[in-house]
Amino acid sequence: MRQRTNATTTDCRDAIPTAGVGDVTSGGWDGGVRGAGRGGSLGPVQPPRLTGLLVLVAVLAAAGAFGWWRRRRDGRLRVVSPAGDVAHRAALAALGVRTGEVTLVQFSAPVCAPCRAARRVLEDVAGRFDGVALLEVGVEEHLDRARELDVWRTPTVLLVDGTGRIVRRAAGVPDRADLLAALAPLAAGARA
Amino acid sequence: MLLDPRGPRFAAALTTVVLAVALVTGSGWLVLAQAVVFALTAVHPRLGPYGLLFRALVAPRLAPPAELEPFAPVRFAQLVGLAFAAAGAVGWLAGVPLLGLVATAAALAAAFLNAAFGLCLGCEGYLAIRRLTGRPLAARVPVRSR
Repeated sequence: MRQRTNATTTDCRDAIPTAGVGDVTSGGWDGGVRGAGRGGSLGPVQPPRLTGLLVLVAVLAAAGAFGWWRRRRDGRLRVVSPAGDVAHRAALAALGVRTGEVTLVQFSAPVCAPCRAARRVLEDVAGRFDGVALLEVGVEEHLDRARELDVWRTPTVLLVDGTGRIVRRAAGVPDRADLLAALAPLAAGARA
Repeated sequence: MLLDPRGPRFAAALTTVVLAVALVTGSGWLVLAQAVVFALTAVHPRLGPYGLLFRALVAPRLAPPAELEPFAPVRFAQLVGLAFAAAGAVGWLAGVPLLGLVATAAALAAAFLNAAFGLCLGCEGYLAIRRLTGRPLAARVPVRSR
């Protein structure tokens, strides 16, 4: 413990322009800025650490890749396989989804910033068809239903057809054109 | 309470720069300062120093916002940021540099995602955390349902 403290003290001193001592232990520091420190302009500011710099580059690269990937997937409508259909039907019925009409179900949370935008998309899209119901579900109040319907993010939008089956789902603000295209054949059927 | 969404985005960009500098210099005090900024903004958005800068310097040069966003998600993000920045500051200042490095890096990743992609990592993870912990939280907002 004591040795460790000593080592830190030496490192800090390394930042201050003292010749000789620093040269031996300076392996980890960036040489260029150390040189600037020697000019006396940096004072007590610590020179860049190679580890911190590497972590910075790694974090920005990883976060950038994740953000790009997310932006591509966000709001895409996915076709839902019939697996788990029975449990889903029960959960939807418990939330108040009625069979016989096409329903757009949106899961929202109090801390969800894009939920407002998602709601506007749903209202706009549903307004173009007859007999399309909107249902907004708060995950705070219906955590169990969110589990049963495998909802992990808000907003998540489920497109339920007239027979009570989930045919499409989207996590994020749903793509308006995709939603219109998916809704058109269903809503026409519901009107007949 | 509604906010111009570009304000928090601008604040996230400043946060990214501050945390990047803190990460490279290993400055616990800088991370602590960022934690204080998070705390002030969480208390009230008008108290946030970055929001103050935005309203004084940036907003007057921009067109009025096309839409406003609720404050609750922003506050939640500030609290998540505060938790990570506080852990980072403790790590650097108490001589546990690994904790400082990891916590600061996590806060930086979240701030960068918010600034560059408008993605609120804390908000996105909210439901996942609620599902896994199952505990009710205080924040409740009535939800319109039709």
